[in-house]
Amino acid sequence: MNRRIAHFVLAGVVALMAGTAWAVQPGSPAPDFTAQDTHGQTHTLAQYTGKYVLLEWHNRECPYTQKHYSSGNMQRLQREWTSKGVVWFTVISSAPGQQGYMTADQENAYVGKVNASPTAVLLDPTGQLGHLYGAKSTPHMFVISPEGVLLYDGAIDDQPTTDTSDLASAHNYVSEALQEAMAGKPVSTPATRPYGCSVKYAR
Amino acid sequence: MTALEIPRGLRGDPQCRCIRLDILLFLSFLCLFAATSRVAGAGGPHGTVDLIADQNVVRPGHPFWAGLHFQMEEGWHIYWTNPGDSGEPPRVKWSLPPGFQAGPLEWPVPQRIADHSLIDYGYQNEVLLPVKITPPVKISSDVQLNAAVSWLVCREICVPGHADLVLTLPIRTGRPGPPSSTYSLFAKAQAELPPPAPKSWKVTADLDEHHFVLNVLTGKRETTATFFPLEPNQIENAAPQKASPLAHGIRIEMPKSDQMLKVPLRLRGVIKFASGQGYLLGAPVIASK
Repeated sequence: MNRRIAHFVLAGVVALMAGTAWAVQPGSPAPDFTAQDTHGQTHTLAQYTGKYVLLEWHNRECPYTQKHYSSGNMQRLQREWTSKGVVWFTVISSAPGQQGYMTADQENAYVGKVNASPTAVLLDPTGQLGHLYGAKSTPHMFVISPEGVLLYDGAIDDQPTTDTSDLASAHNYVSEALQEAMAGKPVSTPATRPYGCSVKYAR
Repeated sequence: MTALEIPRGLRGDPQCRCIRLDILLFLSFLCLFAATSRVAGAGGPHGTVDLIADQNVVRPGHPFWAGLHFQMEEGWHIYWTNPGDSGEPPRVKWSLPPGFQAGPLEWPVPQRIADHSLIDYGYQNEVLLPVKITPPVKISSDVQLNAAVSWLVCREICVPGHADLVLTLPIRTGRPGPPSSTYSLFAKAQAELPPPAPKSWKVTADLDEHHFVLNVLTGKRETTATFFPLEPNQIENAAPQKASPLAHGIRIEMPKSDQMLKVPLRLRGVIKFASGQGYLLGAPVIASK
């Protein structure tokens, strides 16, 4: 019993030491996290076992994010998938003073104004959650299975532009991953290069 | 009054301190004329982009070089063909006269650019991206090259740019015309395009559980080098590369990307030496378990 605990502790220490170099890999367990949303509530990944979880990295001022919000595309996706039981977290990892940084009140006002429908918005100004997952750009999307396995890591779709007219022909990787997983099929595209502006971590 | 007459006011008539209507009309006419002639350059966000050519004429059947010349404000950068952790490279859509062909954008050796603890690959200050244009053997009129250019320029924030550029060149048959005034920009850009690595080099990439180790045997000891991957999701861009000299070359250790799902057949990219000289290579990957 003691030896098993020691092994877990050792694994945990090694995982912590590995840091961001080997953050996550599709097919592997998604890292558990603890984060606070814009209403002061704390969320962990572990508490959502049994549900699909989606993480959407966000910066309202990035032109790539704006493409998806000004067109209503992101809001539509949020409504579509939350209505099917997906827990959708919008995550803001901009550091204070950096582009996209929002206080809870500012973000709640923004969500209301653009009519967004995430389950919650997680505020990550220290960048801890961003670095834990290796979030590189906004948008950068992660899809996690009910068993806690990372199913998809990458771009929202295959049109890496800021032009809303590219949405009509875009192939949406996130919807595809969720549809396939919910139908019990393997995810055909588990990883793509995410497109967007860099996540504005502290400099 | 015709446009050729010099209005009295412009001759310095001391009695006229007012702006005369005919002068105003004359100047407006000049402005209109300027606006409808070619617009080869545009101001974009945080810089400018110009469509230029390495010669002032087009000879039927003779390829020449056009190019997108970006000049950026201090600290702002645009992206290489593989932009790295974030960003997007410039794209161009050509509208050319019948029979004309445009090759792809060519990419001078890039730099590593730090961006909020991430790493991008791109260019600062200025860069010329050359494009080979091949005219047909029969051209009927002056040549108008149209380029719809989209790009992303970033510093601590990113701004998309778009410009519709036009370059009009007359036809000339017979001997070549003189080089254009921007010819030296093309010479510089051509020198910065990485040629394929010499066939005499031995290039391999070992892959273990966490790293690529790129071995490049050039025939002589190399002090240092940096590798720029052509494909995304192979190496971890932000991880420092460990370059160690070998007796006959150099070895670079690079952590692999978490998002690399399959072992690639080749690790393709540009190796850049201390001198700034770069070479294109494709190292066969040998995975060990």
